[in-house]
Amino acid sequence: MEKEQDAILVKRAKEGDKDAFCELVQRYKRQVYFVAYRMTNNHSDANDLSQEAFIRAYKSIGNFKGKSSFSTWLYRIITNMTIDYLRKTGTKQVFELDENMSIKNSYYINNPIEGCELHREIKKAIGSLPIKQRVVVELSILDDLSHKEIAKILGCREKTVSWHLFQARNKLQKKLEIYKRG
Amino acid sequence: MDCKKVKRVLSDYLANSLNPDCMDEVKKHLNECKECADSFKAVVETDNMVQLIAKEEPPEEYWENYLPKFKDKLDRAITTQSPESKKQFHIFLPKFALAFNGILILMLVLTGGLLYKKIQQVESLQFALNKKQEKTSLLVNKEMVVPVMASGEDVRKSTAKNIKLFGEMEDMFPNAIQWVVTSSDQIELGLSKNAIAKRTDARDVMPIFMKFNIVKLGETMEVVSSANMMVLSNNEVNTKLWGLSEKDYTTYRYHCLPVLRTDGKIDIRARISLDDTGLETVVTAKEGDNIELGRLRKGDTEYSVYVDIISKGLNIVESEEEEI
Repeated sequence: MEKEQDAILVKRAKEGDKDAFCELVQRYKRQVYFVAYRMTNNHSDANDLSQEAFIRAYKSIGNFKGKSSFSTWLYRIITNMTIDYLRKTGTKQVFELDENMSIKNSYYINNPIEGCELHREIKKAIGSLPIKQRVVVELSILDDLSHKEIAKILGCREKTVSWHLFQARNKLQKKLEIYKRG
Repeated sequence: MDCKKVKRVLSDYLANSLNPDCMDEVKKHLNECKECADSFKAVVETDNMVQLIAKEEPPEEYWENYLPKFKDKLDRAITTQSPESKKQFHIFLPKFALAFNGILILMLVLTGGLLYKKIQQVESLQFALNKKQEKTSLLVNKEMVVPVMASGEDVRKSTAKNIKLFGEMEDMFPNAIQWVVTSSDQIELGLSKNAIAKRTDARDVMPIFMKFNIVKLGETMEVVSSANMMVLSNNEVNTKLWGLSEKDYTTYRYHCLPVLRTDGKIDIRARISLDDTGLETVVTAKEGDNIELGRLRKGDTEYSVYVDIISKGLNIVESEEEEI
């Protein structure tokens, strides 16, 4: 149903209907923003990247052939943009909680000090992964996308996604072992 | 299915992406093999930990304002795409002009306290210019990413705010102008043009724009560090940049002294190091060249260092300045 509605909005957007495209932005703003945020750990960067990704999508919507779903296409745009951005700004990596963000989880509220440390260590562990593995963790574990969808987004085979995920999980497991709560 | 294979397909099993027969086989194996069941449990626990970071949220009003802001941005993007505005863009902003404009602003900031008009949007920085010393410095009043070449003591210290200045320049030279510093850090921007003049008695310094890449060699080539530089030729000014890799806090150091020859070519004396390994070399290059400076080895990994001569030359026009 959602995909059908997307298809209608995409068709209207292709015909130049800006409102239809804005409706698509409204639908996917969170997904697009969080892909960028979780990879950059910076609200301001994520905001810029996500808005820029939508602008790019708007400009190139004529090239969207509908072979994949609109959301997969959008994911591909924001993922590529964020990877490019991270490669360009390789000197910067921040693991502290961005001042614009708050954590909505009872564990952090009840254990603010340990919670923050754990949070930082998880981010550090994810941040230590090669970019492709980080993307796969983000899309699979956090966004719950299927391997098939991730393969479409990254333009690779499903087996490659599985392999990245296998490697990433092994590394994360080793790094986070000591923080596991009983 | 043996243990090795089961462990290898646990990610697929969790994602439910195996075929039904395989799913049943893995399920059966996990019920019978304690070691594999423990591995599976560990994977699930790790996933649960990773999912904790999904609890970060920006304030609600951010989402409320998202679409209106996007609409504004889209309107601006559409406007700047129109043929008429494109034409104007080319008239006033030729190749590299955007970057040069940013650099011009930076150069003028360095010039004894003069500020180019276009810098007016910069409100968060307090410039503490010390005219008695040769060094021009910038006092940072809060945590931010500073868009200048800097020599902060510890760039590993984190930042909470990313304030984007010299936006155009940032697009062209992203790494050269983003440095993470912390509260009250005193950062050296470089020498002011007056100071350069005093030293060299030459006001026609020629900036050279270069990009250095350290590329990890192997099955998959990967850029592990990248530094964009604006270096004033024939001067040991702004020749040092150092960065940290995004992965392991390896320290990369880039030292560079270019000398502009009379035939227009550039002799580059470069010293690049990666933690405690390094290379020192002299190469001759010309504008547009992309050449390998040499190779580095750290442990079992080999790295290749490339330099890309982007452009040279910039006329500093002292106009439209105003005192701070």
